[in-house]
Amino acid sequence: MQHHLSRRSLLGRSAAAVGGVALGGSALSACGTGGSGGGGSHPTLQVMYDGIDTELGKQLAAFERANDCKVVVSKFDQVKLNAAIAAGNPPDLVRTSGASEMPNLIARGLVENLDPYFAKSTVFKAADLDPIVGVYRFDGKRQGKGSVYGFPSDFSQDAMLWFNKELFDKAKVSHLKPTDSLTYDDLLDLGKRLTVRKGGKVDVFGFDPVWNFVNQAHLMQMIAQQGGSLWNDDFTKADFTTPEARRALQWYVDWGKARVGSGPLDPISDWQGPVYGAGRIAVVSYGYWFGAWINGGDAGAKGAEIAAASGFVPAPQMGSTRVDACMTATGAWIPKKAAHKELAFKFLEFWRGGAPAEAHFKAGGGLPALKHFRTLLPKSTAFDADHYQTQMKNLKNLSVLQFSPYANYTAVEGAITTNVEAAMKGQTSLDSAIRGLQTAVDAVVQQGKQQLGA
Amino acid sequence: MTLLTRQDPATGHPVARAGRPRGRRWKRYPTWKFYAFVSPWVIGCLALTAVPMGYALLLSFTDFDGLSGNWRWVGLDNYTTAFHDPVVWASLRRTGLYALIAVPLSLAGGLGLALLLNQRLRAMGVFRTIFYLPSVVPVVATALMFKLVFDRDTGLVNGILAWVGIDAVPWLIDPHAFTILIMLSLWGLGGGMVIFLAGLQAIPAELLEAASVDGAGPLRRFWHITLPVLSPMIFFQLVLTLITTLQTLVQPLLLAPAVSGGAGGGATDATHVQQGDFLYMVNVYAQFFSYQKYGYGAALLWILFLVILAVTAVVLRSSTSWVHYEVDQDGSEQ
Repeated sequence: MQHHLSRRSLLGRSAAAVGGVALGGSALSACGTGGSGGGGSHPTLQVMYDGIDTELGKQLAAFERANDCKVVVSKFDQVKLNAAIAAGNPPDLVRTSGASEMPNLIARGLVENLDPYFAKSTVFKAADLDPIVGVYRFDGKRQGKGSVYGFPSDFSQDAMLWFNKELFDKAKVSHLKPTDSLTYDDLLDLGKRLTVRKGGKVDVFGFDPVWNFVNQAHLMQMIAQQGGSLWNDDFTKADFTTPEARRALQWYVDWGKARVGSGPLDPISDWQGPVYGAGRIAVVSYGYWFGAWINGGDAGAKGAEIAAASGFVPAPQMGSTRVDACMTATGAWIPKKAAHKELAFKFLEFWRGGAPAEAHFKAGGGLPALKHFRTLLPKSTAFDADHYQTQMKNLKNLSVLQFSPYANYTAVEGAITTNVEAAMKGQTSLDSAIRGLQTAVDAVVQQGKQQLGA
Repeated sequence: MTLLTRQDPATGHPVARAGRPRGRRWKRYPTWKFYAFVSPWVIGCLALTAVPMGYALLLSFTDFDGLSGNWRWVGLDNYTTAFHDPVVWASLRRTGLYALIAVPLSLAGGLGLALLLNQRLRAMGVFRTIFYLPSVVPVVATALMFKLVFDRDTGLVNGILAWVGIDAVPWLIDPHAFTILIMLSLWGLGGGMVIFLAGLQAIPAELLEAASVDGAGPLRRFWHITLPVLSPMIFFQLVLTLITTLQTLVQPLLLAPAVSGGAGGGATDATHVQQGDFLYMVNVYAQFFSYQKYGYGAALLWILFLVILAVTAVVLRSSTSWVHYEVDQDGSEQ
């Protein structure tokens, strides 16, 4: 039978075809989810965590065999994660920076409460949990109390300092002492003395505080050291206009303008690790885990040499209150809508409670969140023993920063970057930058409060 | 070559050529075959363009943050905010400036290369291939190469400058970053060059010979014959390049300094893009993925869509005065 086509019938039938395809796609998608869900005999566990497959190696296959499953590891990607959550099909285990991100994620109702899983666990026993696990606790108002919603891979006091003794010797500067804590101002002066410039280039960066890595946390620590606080008691307001906050921001602007580290005026093409490994950073701000990175050979050809020449000392101070915080405790959480929550928790137990964890902590890849692993931390070489001693002595200054559940972490970081970098570049005054920052973060908190119904 | 269909002067409707009854050939085929053949495009267009656009329009009236189930309708608030947001205006101005510089350079560069490679020389095919190759290299690879070449401390360009005694230049940060972005945009000249080359080779030799016989020099031949004959292609390239340029996003992101972090850091982020490269789409990307303002970002996208629509309409309207077709609108040859 022949038909004449009109535009209307073309559009109508095409729309019907698209609808059919969409419905079919949804049905297939639903089948797929259901098939790999709780009812599936060979479930596929989706793990969004950079490098976990490389770290586990053959142990990953052992986990798959033991649990009759397939583990698919992907790099952490915020865009993909957002899309997957919006589609109701999130990964089963997701990487997080930890301290700074968890309250907001939990308050948004995205994270599975792990209390029932921990209650049943034979690997994660309550008495064996380091207090740092509190980073993943939230009681609806405050971080550090209430139910547990994730688990750290490891933790460190993130503003501690690693320094290259050879570069100090070349600049005829005395080595830093593990018993002392420098002031930020002294450290900036030291950075100027250690920086080596030649022909418009920077051969050696004197001091790199790792600008743009948990900036909010660094500011909170600097303010806390002066006896202040960035957030008010109920975390509904961040105040960047206090004298303490202003001093911290002024220091960052002074540091940026002094051009002694890889700031916005002197960007580097990678993160600071490889640059330190190449002998181009004299002092860099990283926690205990960084020693394993240098020593592990990832630092490049000079890695072993740099490792032997590296010293490790406590974080700098901006005031009289000693604060040397854990700013991250990077780890993993299970989305509330994950398809394989039980299996994801098993993976978490295996990864941070089993053989992979032992290997990780034997290499010194951070401090363990399970107390019994602490004995594994490396002490056999002089290098390892020195760093271990420094770390253990400094643990008495460990504190955990508390972040607002109303403020999205990346949004606050973006606001700090945009406004403070403009001041570093001389495009605006510090006062103007503070005003811009205050307005931007107020808006972020306001949006968060509306979305959480607060 | 005639591309246009014949039209009835009275109604403007297409008319069949004499001796060919209208629709006769189509009637030989059942309707389902028509749908079968057009369905891939129609499905693609509706599912991948119309539906996302509609979804973005809906989002633009909400405060959706991309993750939470809690969102609310905010009416036109996002659009009002955009009109009062200095970052939006600054990024729009910067994008306009970028288009004003990059589009003419791209067209002129493509045409210039095509003119050079339209000569009868030995191994011309090799030269054409060499000039075309950069345009098939993925933009990610090209941008990373630019980052390495123009790195202040370890880049090739500063190495050469140091060799002749000139201090290193921080190419990848303000105020030089914008220049590097323009240079990166010109890396794909080869694509335009091929189209212009095809056009040049289609210019009837007798036209150029007649002009030469009449005493016209190379410049006059270029101005009065080559350019008018190529004008439909210039128009086509102008519209496409303009639209692509106004939507530029990936290049500024790739040229931005790496984000600091722990092992595995080094990714890029929209908030680290230099001010000179902070184009409109970079701001949109930042609103979506750095600030989690999906609703506001969607409103900005719709504003850009309308801007592009308006700019394209202006270009289309202007084309009547400078684009010369070899056929009239009724299909008859001039």
